Amino acid sequence: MKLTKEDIQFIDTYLENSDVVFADIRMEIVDHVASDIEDRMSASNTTDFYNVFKDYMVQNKAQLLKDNRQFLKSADMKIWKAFLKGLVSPLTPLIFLTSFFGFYFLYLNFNIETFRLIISYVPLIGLSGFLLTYVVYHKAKNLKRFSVVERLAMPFWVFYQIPNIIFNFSYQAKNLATVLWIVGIVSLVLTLMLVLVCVSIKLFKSYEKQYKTLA
Amino acid sequence: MSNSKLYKGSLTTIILKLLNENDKMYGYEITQRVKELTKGELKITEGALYPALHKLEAEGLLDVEVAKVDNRLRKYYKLTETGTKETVNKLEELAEYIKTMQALVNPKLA
Repeated sequence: MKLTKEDIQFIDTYLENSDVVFADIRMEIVDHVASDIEDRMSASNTTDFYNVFKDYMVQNKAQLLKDNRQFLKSADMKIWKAFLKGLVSPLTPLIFLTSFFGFYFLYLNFNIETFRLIISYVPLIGLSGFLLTYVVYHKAKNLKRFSVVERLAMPFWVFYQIPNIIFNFSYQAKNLATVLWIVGIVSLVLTLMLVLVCVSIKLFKSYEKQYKTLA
Repeated sequence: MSNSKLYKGSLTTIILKLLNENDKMYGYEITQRVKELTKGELKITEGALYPALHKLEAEGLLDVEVAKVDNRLRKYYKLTETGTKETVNKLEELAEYIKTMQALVNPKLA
């Protein structure tokens, strides 16, 4: 007994209204629910989809919503693993060293106020990279809401906050050792954000490829 | 998994073993296959299965393929090259574990 396109759409809408908002997670749950309902309908030899669906949800809805939260945890893990993998790329130390010497050069050639102003913009560089990628894939490429893609905002937010804290310390940049620490940490944050931008692009592309039929 | 916490540590090995025997499988299919093989003794819930599958995917042991089947999209899982190697290791580990447990629980049979 196979479900119709309308039945599948019904399950999908029901789950979306039950806060399973991400298309990739919903897709897998929809298939699981639909397969189970089809088996139940075949076993009881009925064509009454709505009744079987109702019975299924009475038994399983709480578990399904719990699974949704579990799916989100998996999405976070996927991001951090992809990020760690991105970090071991040979480009990472190159970006760090370039940033480090770049910022140090700025410190040597500009007054402290200009230097502070420049490092205050560092978090925006990484954030803009992510936002640009997000807008391109969501708006221009019409990609649906995907778990991993949207959860990427969290690590960006974390990295965005670190330079803000450092920025406060930059008032104390009076001796060379402190300046080197500030330059080192800001360079590290910039490197982490740029690696995350590369990871984001990779993840966006893989979702686009994997779910092109869904978009 | 509803039956016992004892099975929990072997879930990854069960998934890898099934995927090693089949070219590709989807979530519901895995739950049904396990139920069938164990004659209903072991029931894998989706709450245990999908996080395990996603973890294996994130670790690079599984690859995914999305296909349109019966009016819906279906996510198939299959072993990567690393996954195939890891299956051998996991099965060896499990066999060793069973042997050790056998020696502890029933020394005469070990």
